[in-house]
Parts: sequence; C-alpha cells; structure tokens
Amino acid sequence: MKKRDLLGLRGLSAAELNRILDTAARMRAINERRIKKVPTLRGRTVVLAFFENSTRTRISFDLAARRMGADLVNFSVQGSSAAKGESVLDTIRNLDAMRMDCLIVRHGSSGVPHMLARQFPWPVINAGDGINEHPTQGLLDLLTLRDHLGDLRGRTVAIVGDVLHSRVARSNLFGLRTLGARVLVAGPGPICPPALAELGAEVRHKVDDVIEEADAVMMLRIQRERLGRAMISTSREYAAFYGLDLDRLRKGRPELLVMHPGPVNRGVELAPEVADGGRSVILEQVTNGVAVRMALLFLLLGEEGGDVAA
Amino acid sequence: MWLLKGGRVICPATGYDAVADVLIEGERIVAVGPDLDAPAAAAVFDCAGLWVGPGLVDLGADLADPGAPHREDLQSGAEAAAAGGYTSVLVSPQTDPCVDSPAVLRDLLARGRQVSGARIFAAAALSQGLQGAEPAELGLLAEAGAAAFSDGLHLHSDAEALRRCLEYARPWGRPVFLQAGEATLEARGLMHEGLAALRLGLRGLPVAAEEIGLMRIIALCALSGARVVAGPVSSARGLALITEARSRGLPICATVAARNLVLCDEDVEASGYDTAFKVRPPLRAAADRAALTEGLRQGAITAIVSAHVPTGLVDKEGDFESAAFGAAGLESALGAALLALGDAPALLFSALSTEPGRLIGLDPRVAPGAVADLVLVDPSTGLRRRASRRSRSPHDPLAGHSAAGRVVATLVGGQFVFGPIPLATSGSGAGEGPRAGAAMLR
Repeated sequence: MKKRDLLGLRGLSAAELNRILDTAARMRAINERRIKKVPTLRGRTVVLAFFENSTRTRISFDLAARRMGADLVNFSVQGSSAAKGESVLDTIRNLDAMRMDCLIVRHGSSGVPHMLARQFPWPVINAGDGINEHPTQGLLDLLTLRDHLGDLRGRTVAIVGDVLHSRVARSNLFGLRTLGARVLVAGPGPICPPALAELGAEVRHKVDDVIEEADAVMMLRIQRERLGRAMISTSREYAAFYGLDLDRLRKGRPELLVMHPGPVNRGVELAPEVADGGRSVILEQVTNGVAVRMALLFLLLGEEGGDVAA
Repeated sequence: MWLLKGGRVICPATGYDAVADVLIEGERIVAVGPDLDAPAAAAVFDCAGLWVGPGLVDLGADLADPGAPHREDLQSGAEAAAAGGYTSVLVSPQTDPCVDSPAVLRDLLARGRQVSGARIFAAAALSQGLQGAEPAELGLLAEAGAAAFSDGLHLHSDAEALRRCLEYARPWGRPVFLQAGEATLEARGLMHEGLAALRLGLRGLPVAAEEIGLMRIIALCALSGARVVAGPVSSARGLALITEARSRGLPICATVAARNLVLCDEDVEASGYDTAFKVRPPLRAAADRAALTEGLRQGAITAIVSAHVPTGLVDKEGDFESAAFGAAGLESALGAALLALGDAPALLFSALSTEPGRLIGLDPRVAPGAVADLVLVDPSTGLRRRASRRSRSPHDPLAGHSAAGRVVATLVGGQFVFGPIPLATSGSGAGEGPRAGAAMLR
C-alpha cells in the first residue's frame, strides 16, 4: 500500500480533516484514564527529529507516541537555521538503517519533511517546517474550535500577528477555509500583506478591525528572533495596535474564544489577564494536541492505518 | 572532408534557408548548395530531415575551473556544451582565483585550447576581485585575450564605482556583462515572489529587484556610453525597461535564460521543493515567461543563454533554503528554445548563435569560407529529455521535461565533437548515413 504522510493541511479535504478530528476526539478518553496507554503501536519505532528548538510540541509528540505503545527515539539537534541540509539527510539515513516506522520532523527550512517523505518509505509527520506549515497545531486548533463552535461553516476566526511567516497561521488558514470558515487576518503591514488574500483570507490591519466580528481570535507570538530587519516597530507599538488586552476583549462578543499556540509573550500580543482569563482556551489546545498526535500515529501506522483519506 | 547532405541549411547571417548540401574541407566550409558535386574523398553524413545551422554560442556558462572542478571543469564543460550543440562558450570569470589577472586568463585560455568539445572563450573581471570597487587591469586582460568583461553574479551596489569601471572599459570595446538585481531585496529570497512561493512557504525574489538593477544598469550605460549586455532578464517589467532603453538608442542589449522560456514558478511548486528548480534568475510567473518569448520575437531580447551554473550533488541534496542556487543548462538549452521558437528556426539560430557570436567578435555563418562550426538538429522528436549526460552537474530543472527536438551532432572546425560518426573514414567516400552508437569525441 502506498504510504501516507502528513506534510500539511493544504490539500487535505474536509472529509480527511474531519476524520482526523473525529479520531482525535476518541483518543482524548485515553489521556483521562489512570493507565494512559494502549498497545496499538507496540513494537513500532517512532523517531522524533527536531532540528529546531521546541518544548511543548516535542513533549506532546513524545507522550502521544508512548501512550500509543510505540518505542520512541527522541532527539533534538541544536542548530541554527543555517544548518546544512546534508546533515539532515545523513542523520535520517542512519536512523533508517537502524530500521524505523515513522518520522516526526521539525526543521527551520520549508520543505524538509517533503524532501524526506520523497526519499524514505515510512510515513513522515511534519512538526513544523520553516515558514510553511505546522499541520498538527492546525489540527488541534480546529478540534478546539469545533468543541466550542460546532460546525465551522460560516464561522469567523481572526488570526493576528506575523501571519506571513507563521506556519501555525498558514496551517490554520488552509484548514479553516477547507472547513468553510471565514478567516480574517490582521497585523503590521510587512508581515500581514494584501497578498494573503490569495490564500483565502480577508486582510485587515489592527485588532480593532477584527475583534467585533470574530467567533474566535488566534493571537500569534511575535518572534523578533525570526523576523528580518524592519518588519515591526517597538514592542510598545506592537502591543498598542496588534495586542489583545481586556479593553479590546470587551469590544468582542461575550463568547469570543481566545487562542494562542504558545508560548505567550505576556504583555505583548496578549495581556496576562486575557491569557489567564475565562475566554482563553489555550490550555485546552495543549490537551487536544496530544490527542491529535495520537490520532495521526494511529491513522498512519495503526492496523487500519496507511490510509488517511476517507 | 565532409559532405553534410540534404539538410535544411539555416543561416541568419546570410538569410539562407533551404535544403542544401554543405561541403567541408579541413576547418572550413567550401561550398553550400543543393546537390553538390562532392569529391570522392568526402565522407557523407546524411542530414535528411535535419536542420544544419551555425554552431551555438553561449554567453553565460559558469565553468568552475579553476576552483571547484568537481562541479564542472573545462573538459566536462566543453563536452557538455558540444552535447548541447554549442561550438563556442564564453566562460564566466567567477572562478577561484577569479579571472582578474592576465596570468589566470592566459592559463585558462591555454587549457581551453587543449580540451575537446566546444571552443572556450573567456570573460575577464570588470573589477578587481569582482568586488565592484576598482577596475581590473582591463587593458592587459584585453591584450591577453579577454572577449568580454564581467563581474559574474556579483551585484554592484556602488554606482559610482560601477560608472568608473564602465568608463574605463569603454575604450577597449569589449562588451560588459552585468547582472540585474538588488542585493538587499534579494537577500533571503529562494524563488520568484508570487503565489507559488506564498503557497509553498518560501521567501521570494521580487521582480522589483530586477527592475531596480536594470534601471541602474541602463542609467549607467547611458552615462558611460559603454556597450552593456544585461541579464539574463526574467520578467515582463524588466523586458519593458530594456525595450525602452533600446528605443533611445543606448548601446545595451539583453539576454534570456533558455529555461525561463519554458518553465515558470508553477513548475517549481509542482516539483515539491525540488532543489533543481532553485535557480537565478528565478523562474517567474507564466505571464513573464510569455513576455520573454514575445520579447525574442520582437527583437527586444538579443540572445538566449544557457545560464549554466553547475552544482555538485552535495550542493543541492538538502533542503531548499540551504541548497545552492544554480543548475546545468548547456545540454538542455536548445531543446527549451525549440519549445518556444521551434516555428521560427531563423530566429532560433539568430538568438542562440549569430547574435551571441557577434557580441564576442565571432561571425557564425553557414557559408563558403566560414569556419565549419555547425550544429545538426533533429526538430521532430518529442522525447522526454534525459538529465545531463556530459556535465558533472546532475541538476537541471528541464530534465524530464518534454523536448521539441534534439542535437544530433556538433562540429567544431570541421571535426565532429558530438554525435554518431559514420564508420566510413574520410577517404573512402562510402556515403553511409549516421549509425546509432555511442557519441565519439575527437
């Protein structure tokens, strides 16, 4: 059977997305038990290869693989984004020689999971590639939204921040559009440009421009270390127009959901009271993350796995 | 002594376009015409169904020799050129050490004379070390045999220095090749900035960078009066700037890379981050591709170049971001040009041979008295193109693309440097046609 990978949400159908979300919803129950383990993937070898820093995503995948019963190789390579591609290939070739069943990879360069998926016979799960996609984050966000809002058709989700360079924003944009939601994006000019309309978003500017219409607002972490020159001004300026504080939150709907992929720049894109407040579903996102990742491992590797498409 | 029999002889220099025979004696063509009376000593090469044209001349090949011969050296480059129908190649000075001293230039040309395949010509550095600050020893380099001046892929940011280099170069009469770009706008770009890059999540190279670069080149060409060759041009906007400059009578002309006539950014997207598609100039939008072909037909673009920037296996085996820019192009350029201009063979040979040849002081023609530098083309096949056979570089985005023809044979100075050779030796006059078999080089 031809293997399947999860390289991105762009190109997945609504049926495929819903199948993953339905499976994830069932997986949640396992994580609430006293014995948080099932034997489904016993004896299978899952490799986590993180060529870029991460804490919560890596731990989330680690737990997901272990709870599904798999053997896990978990390593991270401290490397700058200038890490040469050949060391990735050599590293993975060596692991492949030790025989493995699945690769979960994060890299600072767009397209690395795609390159690896082409070269090796086992499924590849993209844990974040450059500025392209972070599909498991997109999926856990979609699950969280579905929990609270039900059918996402016709719902309005706002994404605020560095949308252009955020793989989280892109995966969410692709997934939300496929599921029929309306997506508003807002942020400073260089990182939230009009070109984003080509991907199906409605491009606005400030948080104030999107807060009243949104059913949910997703705040992105502003990553100074990732931005090039001249993309944004000071943190104070950013918080003033592109951040979400209590005053601004009150302009939105009473049931407005506040989301963030984490970690939060407290006081910059999210005021602490909002991050910790009643509308925030940030921790639910994290809980759903483990379930989504378990679901993917099941669908790609489990007995009925190898075929994610409906 | 060869008789190339019954091909369609196409010579833009003379306007000749007819089915005819070509008789070659020694290094030169002695006769061109239908049904020639050939001496018994002449070996016959059957050209029925083939085009016989002036050998192609490339103005844009990076042979990394000296410096990185694992990417391409003069021998493999000359062979790759011959396989692509080229009889002359102008080599870039961007070697290591670069060609900014007469000693390096003399060594390069001497070694070039030793290789079998296309003829090697050299562009010498415009500025010392290709840094764009001080003029190189342009006079000594011209005397040592430089056919042109160039700073390779370096983008000049110091306009005053570039002006002075152009003014210094002007009296020597050699054409100055300049790349059009803007370094800060292009700093992190990986492919054409457009919808495909947006979908792929790859940083882009905006057309504005080419526009700004061309504006600078055009203005300094006007100011200095130097003969400038700009490019390769990759965008409709860039082409418009060139057209306007030429309409003012400026001594500027533009080139285009063969692959930009066939491929666009959608092909990069379809490849799934295949690093063979990471090239400069980038493969831009479909509308740019169409404009470039139209520009050739209108005469706004003078020459097609191979944009042969060979990369080694290791240079491109990783991710798109860290992969080197560049790809092989010598062996696939003609096939690409045929796809774009196959309906206009005279224009095709003009852009691939006559005009680029004239720029570096050659006079490509298929006429009595001319040097027998020729290419035999079969315009009829629809084969899928194979990857490079002679070049050391395995990366070519045109590999696997359908071709509209192929090079059957290439002659330099009356000798076959690529193609099947009849087993009958010169002297027996057995009149046999080409046999399938391995290509043989002199």
